[in-house]
Amino acid sequence: MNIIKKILIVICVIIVVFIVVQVVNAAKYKMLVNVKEGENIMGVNPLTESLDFGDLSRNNGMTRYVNLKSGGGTSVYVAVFNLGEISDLVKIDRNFFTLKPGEEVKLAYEIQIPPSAQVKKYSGWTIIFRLPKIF
Amino acid sequence: MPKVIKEIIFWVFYIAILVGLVYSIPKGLAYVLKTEYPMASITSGSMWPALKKGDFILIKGVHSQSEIKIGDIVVYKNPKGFTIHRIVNIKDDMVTTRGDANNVDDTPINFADIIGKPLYFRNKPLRIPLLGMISVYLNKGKT
Repeated sequence: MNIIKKILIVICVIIVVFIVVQVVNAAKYKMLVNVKEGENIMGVNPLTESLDFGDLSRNNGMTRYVNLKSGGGTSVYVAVFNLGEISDLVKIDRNFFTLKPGEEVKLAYEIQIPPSAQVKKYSGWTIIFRLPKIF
Repeated sequence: MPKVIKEIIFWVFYIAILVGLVYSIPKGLAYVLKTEYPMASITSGSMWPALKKGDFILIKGVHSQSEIKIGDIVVYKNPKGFTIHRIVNIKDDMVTTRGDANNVDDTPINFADIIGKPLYFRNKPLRIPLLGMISVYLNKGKT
C-alpha cells in the first residue's frame, strides 16, 4: 500500500472517530407530549431527564428550556436536530449558533398543539451537538 | 476515434440528456396531470398532519365543480401565490377552505381560482417528505 493511501486511511479514521465522539457526547433528550381531549388542559410533569411537555389539549402550548453552557476554553458550534412525530410540533428559538467560552444560553423549546392533532402521545428526540470551533 | 473526442461526445450527450430531462419532466407532468402547475412544495404547517412542511406533492388538474367535494384538499391561486387547504363548504360557485391545523376558515374563493387537487395514493395525498425543503428555505426571507 503506497504512502498516499495510508495517509488517506489515517485521515478517514480520524474523521470517523471524531464523528463517533460527537454523536456519543451529544446531549439527547426524549420529548413527550400527551394530547388530551377538551379545552385549556395543561398538566405539567416536570422531569429533568426528558423534555416532557405533559398533558396539553388542542390549541394549547407550552415552553420548556434547556440550559447550555460552554465550559471549555474554545467556542463551540451548537446544532440541534429534532426527530420523531413530535418534531413537527416543536420550535426552537435558536439553532446553528456559536457558544463562546464561558457563555450560557437557554434554548427555548416551544410546543403548540394544532387543532388537527390526534388525542394520543407524541414522542421523539432532540439531539444537541456541540462541535468544537477550531477556526 | 481518439479517446479525447469520444470523451467529449460522451459528455455532450450526457449534458443534453440531463437538460432534456430537466426541461421535459415538468412539461410531461403538466400534460399527464392536465394542469399548468403539476408540482408544489408545502411551505407551512397549516395542513399538518395530512401534509407536512417540506413535502413535495403532485397536482392533478380540476376543471369542473363535479370533481371537488367537501373534505377534498385543493390547490388554489391567491394574491400571495398558492394555498393548499381542505374544502369545508361549497355554495354555488364559492368554495370555503380551511387548513387542518388552523382555527379559522379562509376567505371564500371562486371555483375558477382552484387549479387542482393533490394526487392521491391509497386514499392519502401522495407526498415526498423533505423534497420541497428548497422551496421552504427560498420562501423564508419573503413576507
